Amino acid sequence: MLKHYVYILALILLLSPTAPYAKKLNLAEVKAKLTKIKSNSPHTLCIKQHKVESCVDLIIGNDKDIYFNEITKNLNLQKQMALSNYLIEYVLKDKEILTDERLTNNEKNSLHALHFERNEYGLVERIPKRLLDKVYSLNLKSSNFFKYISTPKYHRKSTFLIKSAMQKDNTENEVFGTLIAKTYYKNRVNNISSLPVFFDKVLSMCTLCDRREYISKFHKLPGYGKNIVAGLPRTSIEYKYIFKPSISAGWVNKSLSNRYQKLLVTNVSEIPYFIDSVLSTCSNCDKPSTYRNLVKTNGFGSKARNFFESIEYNYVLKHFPYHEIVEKYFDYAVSFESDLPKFFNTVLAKCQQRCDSQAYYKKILQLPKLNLNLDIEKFRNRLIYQYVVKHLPYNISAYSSENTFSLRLSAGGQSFRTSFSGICEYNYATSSRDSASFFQAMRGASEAINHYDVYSCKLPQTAINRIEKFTQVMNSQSDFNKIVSRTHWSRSEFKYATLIYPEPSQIGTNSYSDAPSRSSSSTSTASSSNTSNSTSKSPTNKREIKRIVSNGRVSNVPSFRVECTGGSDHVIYHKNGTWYHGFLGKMGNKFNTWNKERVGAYLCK
Amino acid sequence: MKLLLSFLALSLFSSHLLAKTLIDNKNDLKRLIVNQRLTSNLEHFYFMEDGTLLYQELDNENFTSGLWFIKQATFNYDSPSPYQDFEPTKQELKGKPVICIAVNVTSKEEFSWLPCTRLYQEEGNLYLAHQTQCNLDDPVENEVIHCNWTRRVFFSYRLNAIEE
Repeated sequence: MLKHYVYILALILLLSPTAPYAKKLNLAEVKAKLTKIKSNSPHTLCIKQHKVESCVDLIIGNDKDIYFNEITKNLNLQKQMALSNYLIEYVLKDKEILTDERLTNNEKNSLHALHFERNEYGLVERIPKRLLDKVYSLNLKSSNFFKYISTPKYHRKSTFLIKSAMQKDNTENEVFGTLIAKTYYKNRVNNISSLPVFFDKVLSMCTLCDRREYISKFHKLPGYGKNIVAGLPRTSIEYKYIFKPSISAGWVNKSLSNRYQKLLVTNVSEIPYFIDSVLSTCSNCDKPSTYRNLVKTNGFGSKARNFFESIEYNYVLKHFPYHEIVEKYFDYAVSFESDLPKFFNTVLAKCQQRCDSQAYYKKILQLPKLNLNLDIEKFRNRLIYQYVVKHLPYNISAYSSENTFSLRLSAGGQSFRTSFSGICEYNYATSSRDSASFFQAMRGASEAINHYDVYSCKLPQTAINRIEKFTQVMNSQSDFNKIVSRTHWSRSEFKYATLIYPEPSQIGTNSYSDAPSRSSSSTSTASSSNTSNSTSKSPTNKREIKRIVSNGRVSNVPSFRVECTGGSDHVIYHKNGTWYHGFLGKMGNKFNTWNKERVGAYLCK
Repeated sequence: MKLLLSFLALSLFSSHLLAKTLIDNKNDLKRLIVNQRLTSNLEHFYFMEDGTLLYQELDNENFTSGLWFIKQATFNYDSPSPYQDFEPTKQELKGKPVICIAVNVTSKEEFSWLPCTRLYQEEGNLYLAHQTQCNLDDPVENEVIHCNWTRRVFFSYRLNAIEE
């Protein structure tokens, strides 16, 4: 019996076809079918022969977006809508879909919903995603697989996806929102300026879309950060569509916080919002580092004179160590002498050993708005003295220049100054032989004898008395002794110059003889040398010695002043066997054996 | 007798025991299907050597023309295989060739997403088709396309020559 069963089973196995029954076509038949199909294809009939029924077949089939557009592009709006409505009806009559009991009511309702949206072109394309998923999962035969699963598959899908993205029922998750958003983003969002439409019209309607993932890549879009208005950064697209949604959703992390700070904290007034809404909600942010970076914000500290009421202190600096707060207080709130009491009494006083008072003394003395005039009757009462100078070593010194006697109090690398007018009286006239100045040389002179009036000056006794009192008040009596020694000084005043010209034979060689010819050129003190035209050339203008007088000792030897009839004079002395001129120095070996009269005659000639 | 019983037992269960072999070479796959028909009890696909496709629905004898071509593709899924006896390996999911099919179109340029199928040989001319939808617009790298559908379809076909 068993043997029979085995034979029967074997027979069944051997005879049963390995494939289900199918009508086979041979190669010729396939080619014939293809040729026939091509000539009678909906494509040919629709596009080339304009048969509407064929167009509908195409539209309902795999190629609806291609053909729908191709067919409808030449139709007027009325006909386009009529075609749309016809297609909707066509879909609704597709019993295979609508009578399928495996579809949920919601999915069927979605199809019916198409029926009520007749007013827009192309609505038929919007087949609900869940319906497509359902059809696909039911393992329908491949014709249906191709028919319904293929959406969206064409290049032009972006157009209808974009239209679809803006339909109301996206909010009900019945249109393939994630795919729409992805397609829209890929095709349309190519600049930061594209974000508002994408965000408001597409992403906000897509409940299944990963908004965080989208938002996280917006900052890579071209144009990001290019149009931030520094005064109003939160009016920007970047704020509205990247940062604000992230903040609202609680997606603040270190990366977003850093990007926010870099892009939108454009001025100090933006810091409170940043701290309150971004940094305070960020769990992994490096807050100390962020506070330090905020100090670099544009304008930070520039309006923080009311330091402890300022944004700078209350949002940022209060997190710093106290000695750094003192530093910032000094930088932002100490500009004038009147700021010193508060700084020293209430700010620096609390710092104790961590702050270097000496350093602050020196910094205060360098404040650009510090008044450096020295009022010797009031200086001791000034705040700068009370809070700074008296804590530093200082000295008082004096110097004179022309008619003026200057008094200087120096402390910590800074000087307070005042000046007094000296009393000057004419004492004597003098001259010196110098190289020609630039303008004198332009007139051909090689040297000039410059004539001066010398005055004796002194500081009035009343001023000396005031200075003495000041040094007493300042406990600098030792300085007064030096100051007094400088209250007498002399000053010289240029009167005119006598030009000396080289010998004509030597002008070309640019070398001068020891005995140059000379001419008198007198230039008045009041006239500048380049405007004077009073120079007179007179090679025959001979001069003689007027007199030779003793001039005291120079370099430990007796000297003589030779006065010439032309008005010039020369100081000469004989040392180590040779003659020296007071201004010209060693005169040359040929003069060594000459007496002072011959040397004087030579100089006056 | 024992020998015959062993043979029958082997014949009965061999299809379940044999491993499925992926056709993972592009040229092999092409050679395999050119001038062949892929058939099930519902439909026939005729793959012509010029890249055209004839699709035959057996229940109503409808014929449709189209295109076929081969691409390399990577499949991404987020759930286990619904097909109990078969789970493609990770290697098989990455970069292996697929046959993509389009009907009622005349040019490859007209589409970006299409149904594509990967063939596993089960036994003789019996093949398991692993179907998905692939994006032809964005090659991942080296022209490997991306197939991204959260559901999977497996279907069995026989592959036969188109007879002259």
